[in-house]
Amino acid sequence: MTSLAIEIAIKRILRTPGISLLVVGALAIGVGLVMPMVTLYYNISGNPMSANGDTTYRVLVGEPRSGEDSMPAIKMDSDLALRVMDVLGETRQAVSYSSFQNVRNAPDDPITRPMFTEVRVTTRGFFTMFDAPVRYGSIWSDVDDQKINNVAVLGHATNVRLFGGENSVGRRFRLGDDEYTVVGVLDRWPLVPRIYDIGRTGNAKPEGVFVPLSGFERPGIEPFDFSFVAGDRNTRARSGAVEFVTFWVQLNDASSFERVQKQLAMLTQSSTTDQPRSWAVYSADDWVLMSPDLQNRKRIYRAFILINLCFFCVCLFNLLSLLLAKVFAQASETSLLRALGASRIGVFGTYMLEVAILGVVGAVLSIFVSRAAMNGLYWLYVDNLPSKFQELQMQEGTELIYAQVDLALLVMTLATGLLGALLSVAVPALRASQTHMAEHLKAS
Amino acid sequence: MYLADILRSFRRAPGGTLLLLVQVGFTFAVLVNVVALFDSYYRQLNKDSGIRNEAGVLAATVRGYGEGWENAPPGLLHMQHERTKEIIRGVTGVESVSYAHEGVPYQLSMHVQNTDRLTAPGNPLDVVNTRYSAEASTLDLLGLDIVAGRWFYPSDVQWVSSIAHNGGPDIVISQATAQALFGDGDPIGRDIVTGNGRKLNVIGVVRTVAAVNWPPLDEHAYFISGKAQNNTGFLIRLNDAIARQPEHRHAVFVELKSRLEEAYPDKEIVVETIEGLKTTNLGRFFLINAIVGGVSILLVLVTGLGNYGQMSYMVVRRTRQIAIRRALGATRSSIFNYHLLEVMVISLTGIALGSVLMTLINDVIVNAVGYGEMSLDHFVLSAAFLLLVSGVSVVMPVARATRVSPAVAAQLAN
Repeated sequence: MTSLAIEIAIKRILRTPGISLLVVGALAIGVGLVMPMVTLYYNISGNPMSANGDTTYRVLVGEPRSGEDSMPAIKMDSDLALRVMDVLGETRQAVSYSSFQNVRNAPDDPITRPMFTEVRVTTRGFFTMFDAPVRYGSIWSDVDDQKINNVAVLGHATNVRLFGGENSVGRRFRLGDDEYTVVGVLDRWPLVPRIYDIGRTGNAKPEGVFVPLSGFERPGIEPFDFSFVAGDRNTRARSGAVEFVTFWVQLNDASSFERVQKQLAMLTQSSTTDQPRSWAVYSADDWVLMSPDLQNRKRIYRAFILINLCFFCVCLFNLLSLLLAKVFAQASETSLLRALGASRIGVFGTYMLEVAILGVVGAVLSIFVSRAAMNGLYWLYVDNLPSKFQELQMQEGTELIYAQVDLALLVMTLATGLLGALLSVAVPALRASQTHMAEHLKAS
Repeated sequence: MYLADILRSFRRAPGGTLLLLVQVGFTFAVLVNVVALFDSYYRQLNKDSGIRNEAGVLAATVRGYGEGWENAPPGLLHMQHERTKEIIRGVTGVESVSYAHEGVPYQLSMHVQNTDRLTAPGNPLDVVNTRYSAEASTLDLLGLDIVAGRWFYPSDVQWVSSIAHNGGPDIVISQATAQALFGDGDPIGRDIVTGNGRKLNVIGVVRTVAAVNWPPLDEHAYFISGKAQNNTGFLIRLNDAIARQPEHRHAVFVELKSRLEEAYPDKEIVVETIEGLKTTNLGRFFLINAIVGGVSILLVLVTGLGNYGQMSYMVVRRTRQIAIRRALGATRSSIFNYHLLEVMVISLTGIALGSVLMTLINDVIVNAVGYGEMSLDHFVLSAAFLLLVSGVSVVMPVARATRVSPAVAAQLAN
């Protein structure tokens, strides 16, 4: 019976190739245009940390932000960060900020053009806390964290550009005005979203070069993403300070979590005017939900998804009317089937099966449409960036890390295509199953 | 007369009518928003920047790769910068050059943080401003209009190690900044406090100047007197005859780049046009518009095809009805008008229903991207366009309906 239904469905598909192509095309384009935005939204919505995801916490200390949330400032100024580092003492910390610099080989290589890259200035704990994959060498030592030693860990793309991707530990390169020695090289690191410092655009990538924080005294590496101290300027004491430091801690148990909370509360409860007024600690899971930068980006993706869903709905309405017309045109044949003993459910089933097959084909094709749309989006995005940022976006191995498709997304794509197809055929199939045999047989 | 018939036919075939209604409604809701987004973008693109003849202004960046020349003695640096100016002046077609270390209009820079929060004593408001460094020649070079006070004299402009920390103390602000900080009061001679706590003195107001920031901060800017020892930026004015002709402009552009690269083989040289910088500055909006624009084109196409298919189906189903009407004396034009009117009624109803979804989508978009608010113009334009698409898409099936012969009625009756 099932094989007969499949045979009938396939024969119908082949007998009306034009309509079949339209159904497949509408589903492929409809689903294919929705999925890129769903993919981008999905990829920035989860906590990317697998190893320390439940023990890593973002620490915020500062003046309350203006606006609807009562969150403290997202970043700290360097003086405050040093105080918090001191107050939290033995707790494992990852303190960092980002900068943009030119890098090139040393001694000066006339062939290699300087490469523009983002630099993260951070502490040693950063790498273990965020599970950075070390390919060659190791991370710098605790001593390097304290002193201004010119050592660096390279990202994969920078290592490829400067040293052809080979083990470059011990090699030297120029960063801004100074020469640095490579102590470690990271493997590809598709950290999405870049949870340790999400960035205003919400789609930042791990940096090309990492250097020690050295108590914020490293010369020539000016912070890039900063803002002036927020809040009431009449009461703030550090007038003119700029906030650029992100602060994370690793807390392995409830007692250390409570201890940190108490320490931060004490820091902000002092009566002196130069104390920050609020603090907060967010787990990595919560930070992905609460980060204002990610919230902004999600709002944009939601707007796009809504528009693309409208398009998908219109595609489905069109399919519905197309299939209604098809059922109407095939009424005589349906009557014949019924006269030969096919049940109403059987007729309903063959139509559903026919469009389900087309739905699966359309959904599979939508994966390719979605990929093409994603590449088009990426090209448009890069093309509209200032020239320096274009170079940064096109570094090898980092191009489309925000467009990764996993099994869940693949299943979602196929399910959306299939569901859309079944929804659009349900009413026509029901109509077909209710065909009045005598009337149509007489007409034919 | 037609209207009563049309309403009766809706009752007879509610499914097909509903499908068309919903399609038109969804399409309209998206279309109005896309029109609003494009309108906002083009308004911004064509907004008065305050710069006279933008096509005649170029920006050049000459930046070291880190060989330490920035740390050279100040006197040597001044000579180096003056030499660069001379090289630029030597290019045929260049009228004037001025230093622009802290920002060029529309230039999103990652090397110079030229955004500043300004406050005025007695006003609780912080106003985010773009900070431009300027010298005496910058006013004429950009062709800005001074509406109050004066511009910098050459004696006001000194070499400084950092514009943000040592520039000024005199500043010239845009009218938008003056309005935000001083309301209707006279800003000349008043104090302004910068984000890093410096007190500066307002000596002039320019009518408008494009800021680096996006709306609504795109008119808030101030000029601070000073020439940076670590200067990397230059503003260049081409003479009007050259600026008027794109091919001559391009030749100057190419020659300028090649002269600078020849003079400084070890430095990064970037030459940009103000028009190009403006486009890049609005790139984020362009990207958003490109995405929704692409979807809306497909949407209109699909809706047009849907209308075509649905009307073809309706004509086939109504063959007998049309034939009877023809047999009873209906002319071809009356059949045509009837069906066209039917589609228009459906489309108008769809547009009315789509207005609810349109408002919802607009709320989501404006909340997400910060621009694209709708107006009545957008509504009317989109509705007219969609009616046109609906009408054109059904012309063929409706024309087929007019060709149904009255004899068909008799054949079908048998």
